[in-house]
Amino acid sequence: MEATIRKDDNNRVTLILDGRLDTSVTQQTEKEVEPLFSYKDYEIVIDCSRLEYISSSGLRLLMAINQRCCANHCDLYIKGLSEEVYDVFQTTGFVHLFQIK
Amino acid sequence: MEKLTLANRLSIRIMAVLIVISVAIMVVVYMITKASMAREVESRYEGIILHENEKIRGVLSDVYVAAINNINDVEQDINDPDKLQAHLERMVGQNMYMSSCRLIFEPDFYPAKGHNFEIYAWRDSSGVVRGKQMNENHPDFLIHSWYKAAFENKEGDWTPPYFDRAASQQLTTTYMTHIHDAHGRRIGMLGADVSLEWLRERHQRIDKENHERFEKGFKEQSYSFIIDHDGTYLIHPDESRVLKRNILDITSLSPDTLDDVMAHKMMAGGSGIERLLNDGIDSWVFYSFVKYADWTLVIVVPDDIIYHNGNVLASIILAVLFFGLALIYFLCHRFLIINMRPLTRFVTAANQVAQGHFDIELPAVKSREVDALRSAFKDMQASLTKYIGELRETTASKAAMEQELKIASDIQMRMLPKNYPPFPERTDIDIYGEVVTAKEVGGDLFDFFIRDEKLFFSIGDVAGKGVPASLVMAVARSMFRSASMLNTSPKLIVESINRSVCQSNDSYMFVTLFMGVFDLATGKLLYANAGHEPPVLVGSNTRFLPVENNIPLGLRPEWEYSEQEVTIIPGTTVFLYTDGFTEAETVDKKQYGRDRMFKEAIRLAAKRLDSRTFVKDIRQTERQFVNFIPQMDDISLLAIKYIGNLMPGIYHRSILLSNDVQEVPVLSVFISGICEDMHFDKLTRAGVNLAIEEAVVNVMNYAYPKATKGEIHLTVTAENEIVSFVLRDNGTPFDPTAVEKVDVETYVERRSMGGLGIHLIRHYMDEVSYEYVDSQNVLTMRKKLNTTKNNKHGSND
Repeated sequence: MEATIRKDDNNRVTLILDGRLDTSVTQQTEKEVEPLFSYKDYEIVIDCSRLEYISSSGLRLLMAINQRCCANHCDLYIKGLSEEVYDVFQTTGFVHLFQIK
Repeated sequence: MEKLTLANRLSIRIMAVLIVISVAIMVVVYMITKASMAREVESRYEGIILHENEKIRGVLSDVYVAAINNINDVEQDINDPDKLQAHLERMVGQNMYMSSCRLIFEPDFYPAKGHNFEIYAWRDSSGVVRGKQMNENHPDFLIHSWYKAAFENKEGDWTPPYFDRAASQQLTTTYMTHIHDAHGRRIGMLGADVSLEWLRERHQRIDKENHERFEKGFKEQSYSFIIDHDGTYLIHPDESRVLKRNILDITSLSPDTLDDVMAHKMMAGGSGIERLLNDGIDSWVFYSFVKYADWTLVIVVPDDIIYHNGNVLASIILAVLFFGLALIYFLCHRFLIINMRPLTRFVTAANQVAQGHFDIELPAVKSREVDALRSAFKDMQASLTKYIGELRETTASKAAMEQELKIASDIQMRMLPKNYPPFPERTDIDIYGEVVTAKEVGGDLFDFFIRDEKLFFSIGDVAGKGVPASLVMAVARSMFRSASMLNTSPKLIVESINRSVCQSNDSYMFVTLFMGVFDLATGKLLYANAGHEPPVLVGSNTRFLPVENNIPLGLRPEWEYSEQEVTIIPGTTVFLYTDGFTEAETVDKKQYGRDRMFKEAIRLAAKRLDSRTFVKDIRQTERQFVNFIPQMDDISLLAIKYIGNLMPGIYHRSILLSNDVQEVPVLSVFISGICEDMHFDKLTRAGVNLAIEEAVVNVMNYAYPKATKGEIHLTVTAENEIVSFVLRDNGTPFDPTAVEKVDVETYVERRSMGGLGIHLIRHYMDEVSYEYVDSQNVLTMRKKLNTTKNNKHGSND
């Protein structure tokens, strides 16, 4: 699992999730996404086009990111969900919690 | 209890002996002193009483003699009664003890003088001698009751004491002697009176003197008295008794008869000393009979006075002795402490030495014994310094060696496979092995790897232990690896290893080794055995693998090893071990043994365990057998379970995980393999993977208390188009299916994440059930093979 933060321009940041976001890696990933919360009034994009798998702990992590970004007045949306991961989002109702493009 | 100091102990012992001796001396001295002092006091009172007796007798005899001497003068002038008066007055004047005297004539002797005629002379209170003549007409005249009796007596005698009312007004006794006329007829009597007043005063003085001189401060003091021959009190401190009471009346009052007997003795004219209870006081009674007067003189002395001096002397002796003892104790204790002082200094020095100051200066000593101790101590000090120095060097080099051994052990352990399952992507083989070394470095080895769908494996045991054994093992292990890269024949591989071990083996160390090459596709096992224990095939037909007897490696480089072949059917576990396992012993030298191990293997075969559980369980039977005593030899166990390729209807897979989320990737590989076998589509794979992970992570996080190790066992079976995933753990009972079904919409609103896991499990599985059986949480999840669920999802897109 790899999490990369890329600053696109002055008002947009992209978080790229690559690989399997299962319980064994969420703790590590949680640390890796920490710098994301230093951006205020930004548009934050979570790029999931290379995310193969997500577990409930991964969903919790996304939820936490969402809440902290909202507190930072950031707009957050998710893009590039694979069919399998989208299924999980749908099953858990996360489709209603995130803006998905 | 605190120990006594040597000084205290010795002085207490000395004192004990001294006290015993002193007590004996004191008792004897006290008894002798008491007796002799009592005797002395007794003599004093005896002296007093005798002196008194003499005095009374002297006085009485003076008066008596005076009376006798004047008889002639009186008889010469008998015819001139008026001349007689002068005789009487002279008698009184000459004799100081004579209080008065008298002439009493027979009635009508001088008709001119009256019927009863009496001439009387006395000394008045101012010392002037006076006289008078009386007859019955005189106002002072009295008829003396005792006269008649005295006159009838043949000889002169003392009258009983009487109260003289006529003249002296005092207690008086009179010596009466007859007077005769010229013809020798008795015509009257001459009476010489002695007033007993002097006697009374004398007694008071004696008592007073006694009280002042000898009896000062005593509560009870001595007193003296005189009794008459019939027991009447004549003199007594208690004046009311005088002439009125009798000693017999008094003595009869007391219950004992000792005093009565004594009173009778007194009245019978006896003298002596008696001890008796007088008025409730233990007393000594001294009594002495006064001749002529027929009186008895008595002094009563309380015991206390008699014994007082003895007691005082004894007390003084006692005090002196006691003081002496105290002084001896003090000095003795002091001397001992002074003499023990060097020992105290030795203790200090020894403590210093104990703290590591070996060069401490020993205290100087005077006495020979302590000097002996000192030199012994000095020797010890020197030896200690030497030995500690040596020990330091040895310890330092030993520590260095141990450090090196530790490194060697680490390197050795790193050579062994340690990641399990070693081939998580493979579903056809399940391997687990472990080595437990008895010392820092061991001589056991095992290894395995897969090349070209063939599993190469070996297990071996180097004779001997420690670093040499581990070096040989390292050689054998690397040769196994390199030879297996080139060959697929166990015979060639073993021979190649043998040659290498022989080459470097000057110390004749040898290695027993079993190695095999297992074709995973066909189940064909080629193997060669170099003197190792035969492996066990655990399965539906559990048995030892037949092995040919080849010599161990490292002995003969040219030896040709034989090769054998067997086919392993799926579900069979090849169990390999070293002799440390079968030869494990109990405290009383009973071996676990190959037979026992074989029986346990049969028992476990029925359970169809995965390789890890099988190794753990069979090891446990050995540990229990030897009652968990530390092992003596290295133990290596290796289990290779051949699952083989999927067969319809009896699909069976299992995996054992520990409660650590880091095992999730292993689980993921395992599940992916199953999904592959089941030909699930992409979406179902993801769902099954997610559901199983959620269930497993749930157990990992909550079934076992934090920081404790636990296991999770997942079994997957496929039958009748249904795949069952059964999850077992020994943790706290918890039913995840009991969690309320969450309405996705509601929880989205509340944004609480509880129940998400079980929601996902329910969603992706067709059936979920939970039960608690045999202290195990058992969660069963089922998935139908030809489900239309995928389509349902598809329609949602």
